[in-house]
Amino acid sequence: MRRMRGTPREGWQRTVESQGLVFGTPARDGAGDSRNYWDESVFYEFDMDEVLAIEAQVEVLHSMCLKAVENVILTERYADFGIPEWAWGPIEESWKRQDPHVYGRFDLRYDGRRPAKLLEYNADTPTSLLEAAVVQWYWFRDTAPDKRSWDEGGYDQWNSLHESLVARWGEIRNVIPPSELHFTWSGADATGEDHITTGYLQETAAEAGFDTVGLPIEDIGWDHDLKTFVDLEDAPIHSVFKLYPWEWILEDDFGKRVVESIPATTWVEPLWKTILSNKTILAVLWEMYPDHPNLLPAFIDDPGFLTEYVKKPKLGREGANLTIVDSGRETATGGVYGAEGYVYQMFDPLPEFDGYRPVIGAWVVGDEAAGIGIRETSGLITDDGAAFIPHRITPKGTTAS
Amino acid sequence: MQPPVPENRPTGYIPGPEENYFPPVTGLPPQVNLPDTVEPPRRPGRIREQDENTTARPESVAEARARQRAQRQRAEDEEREAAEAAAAAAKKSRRRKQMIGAGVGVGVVGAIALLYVAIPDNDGARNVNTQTAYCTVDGDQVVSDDYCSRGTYNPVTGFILLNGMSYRYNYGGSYNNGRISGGSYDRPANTAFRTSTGGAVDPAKTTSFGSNGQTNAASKPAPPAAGSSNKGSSGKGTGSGSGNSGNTNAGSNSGSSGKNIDRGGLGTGSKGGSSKGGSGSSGS
Repeated sequence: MRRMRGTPREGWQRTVESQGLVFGTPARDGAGDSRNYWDESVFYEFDMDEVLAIEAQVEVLHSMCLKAVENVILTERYADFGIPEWAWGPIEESWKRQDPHVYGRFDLRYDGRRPAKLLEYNADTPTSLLEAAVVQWYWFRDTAPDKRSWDEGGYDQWNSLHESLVARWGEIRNVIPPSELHFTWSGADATGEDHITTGYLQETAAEAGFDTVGLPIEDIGWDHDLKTFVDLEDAPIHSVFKLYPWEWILEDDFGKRVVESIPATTWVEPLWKTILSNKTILAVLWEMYPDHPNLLPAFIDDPGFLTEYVKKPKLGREGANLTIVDSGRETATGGVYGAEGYVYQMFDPLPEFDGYRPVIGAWVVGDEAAGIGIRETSGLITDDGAAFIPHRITPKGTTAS
Repeated sequence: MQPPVPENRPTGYIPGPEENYFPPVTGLPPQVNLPDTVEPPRRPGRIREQDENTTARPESVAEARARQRAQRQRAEDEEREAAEAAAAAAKKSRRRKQMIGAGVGVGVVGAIALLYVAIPDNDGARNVNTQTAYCTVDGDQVVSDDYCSRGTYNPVTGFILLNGMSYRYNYGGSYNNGRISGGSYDRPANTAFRTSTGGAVDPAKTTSFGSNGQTNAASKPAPPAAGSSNKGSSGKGTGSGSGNSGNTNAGSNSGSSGKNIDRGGLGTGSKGGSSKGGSGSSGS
């Protein structure tokens, strides 16, 4: 793994904008100046051995996570996750019924030398999907110096996100009602990131044969007479993909109705993912698989034996409310999360390349690894000031070290 | 009883086995003295030769079974290895990305993205001028922006469907006496547009498309007039930070149409950390 300098394509801003990348708070560079969220003046290179290693580790992590969900449900540890008691039974039923899941993103610490370490799992509402699936793919196609296939000596990119999503929707078509599939996002997100991410997923589902309807979640109605959720045409919603966290749904006015509507209404991602999207899972994984090479020690509500650690809110997002305690020094980010408690994870600083620190977002579609997207910060915390950096795989027989 | 200690031992004397005798201990099994190993009488080995007339000896039943088992196992192993190789090859080909299908998201997603392209002030550096977009029907007839913001937008055809009618924005045309002339129905790049009332151009929030790229919204009953005036009336993504479509329907109720539908009970916890907005929902 190495960081390379590239020459941005002529008119790249217009290109990525036409591909849908219009959102994203401007990132920040080392001096605190603003930086483009999409930055193709640099990129990362991996060799195929590294890609194959990460791929295998991601699939191991995913299967460990599923075992951890099973464990939490069997031992009824919901209270550790801050999940309201009325939702416990429906979560268990959702798991036992194997309500279908589509995708998730592991955030990994990886430097090309040591095994990847799981920092967290965005299993419920992961974004940065469009830039990983589409925008960086076109960047690769436009800039690869050797257009031959990897087998014949050219470059490659670890990226099967689009095909994997289409294939996954195809599988899901077999297990949910043959009706229109609704897609919903929070209209309160003024940047458009949620709407565009949902629109992209909507398109992959349509490619798989679904008829789809998109609408903001605020516009989903409850029909008191027919006891069903309805769209803006007052037509019943039988299945819906939501880019909106379960923990917020459970708090919303219609939260109980949503939970009661399952399984007559299929909600994707499924309710059982509320366990995986909670950072308490990091501590459960460490309990179940102590000293696993892809895990960092993590504990609930207490740092345990850790002297250098990151304190993460169980339900935090985008690097908010993190505190890093390192050699007695504390670094913290602001935010509104943490009322539900914290998880303490051993501090393993992100590796540094040219003064920047990448985190690998490794995608899982269905149950298989499907590619990566890299976000890079100048600081130790990958927050909404991170920039997205594309990557490629070096030709056969070469290394990226 | 101690073993007898012989006298006058020479230097380097090593005691023989008879001197390692220890009396039996009560409660333990008796010690057994094994006889010294005796060389058996040596018998010369047999010498045979096999030639082309040699035939296989009959196989024992156990050998035949073991052979069958091994052969079956080898066949299974080969089968499994072939399956694993095929799976690995399939995975490799998935990694070696070949976009399938004609569109790769950019068409529809790009259309949605246009909703969020920041519209700067007139002196903004991003775009040099701001023009007006008019909501139109039947080619050139200008109607209220409300129709364009309330209907169902099909990003593929570019039309906005509402109550069986197709609306679309005209970008940059000249308005005269209720009609539009000139301009474009495709949104030109690098130009900012606002509606005639100064709002963001927002061709409906509801997007609808299927695998064949055609809208399917028209096949469903049109939305009722009652309550719909609350729908999608706000602009968003105006670049000034003020646009926010959240909760526009909070508490809306299609009561006057005979239906009893509440909206706004979801999404009340808005992203970005603002506290739970008042939904006004009567549903809970």
